[in-house]
Amino acid sequence: VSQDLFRSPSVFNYYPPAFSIPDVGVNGPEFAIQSTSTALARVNFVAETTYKTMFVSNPNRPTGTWLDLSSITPLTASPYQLTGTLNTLMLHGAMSADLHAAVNNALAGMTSATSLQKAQRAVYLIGSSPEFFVER
Amino acid sequence: MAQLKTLLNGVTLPATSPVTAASATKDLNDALDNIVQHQNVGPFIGRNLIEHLVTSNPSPAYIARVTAAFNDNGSGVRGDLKAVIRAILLDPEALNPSPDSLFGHLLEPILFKTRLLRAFDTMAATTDFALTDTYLPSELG
Repeated sequence: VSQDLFRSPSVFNYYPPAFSIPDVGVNGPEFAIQSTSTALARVNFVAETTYKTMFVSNPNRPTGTWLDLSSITPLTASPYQLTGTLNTLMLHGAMSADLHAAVNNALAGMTSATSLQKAQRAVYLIGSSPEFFVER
Repeated sequence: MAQLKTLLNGVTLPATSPVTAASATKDLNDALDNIVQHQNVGPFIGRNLIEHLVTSNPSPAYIARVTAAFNDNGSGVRGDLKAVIRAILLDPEALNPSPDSLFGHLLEPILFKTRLLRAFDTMAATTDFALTDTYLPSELG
């Protein structure tokens, strides 16, 4: 994701403090290292951790990090309760009505899915949403 | 040849002769003190810290309030970073419950990753959550 931790390419951090987002003209320093590929890398990271698909066996890199969702799977019986809890956990209660509706619609369509699959879908959708990418 | 050294805001350091390790250290410390006293340091540090902690587009008034905390922490001390952080995080602009659409900032990658991992019980194949080569999407322990 274009941030080699502890090895910044410059003493001035990974990105300049005054980076203007192209074609928008708004200051957004972190966008200097946000590109099409790093944006996808973020989404992939969310998918790998929620769906438990990260590699485990790379030598010297004990990976395989995944999210244990067992605390929220019982809530999938009620989609509104699930999105409400995830709203608190992931977005400190600031989830937009649009995202609420999108997640609830997605869950409503999963009639034959297990509760774990529903929980994973909800976490993935919220984690890969723009609202989760920014801090407000 | 030793000369008078002219620094910012017309401050001068006396010529030193002969130059010793001690006099060089003193000159360096005096020069750093001189830079810290410059009036641009407060806005510069304040704006950068605000961008990291709160929002990419702070209002001039917000920066001015943080600069005031840098210049004087309330007890006449300049450069108290605890007071600066307090001023940044407790500012009305940072705490505004209904901010405008430009408020906030994109999370840098590592904070994005930790934000997700901290929200849930995170597990791994081993207890060694090694962090290596985080520029690759798959390389987080």
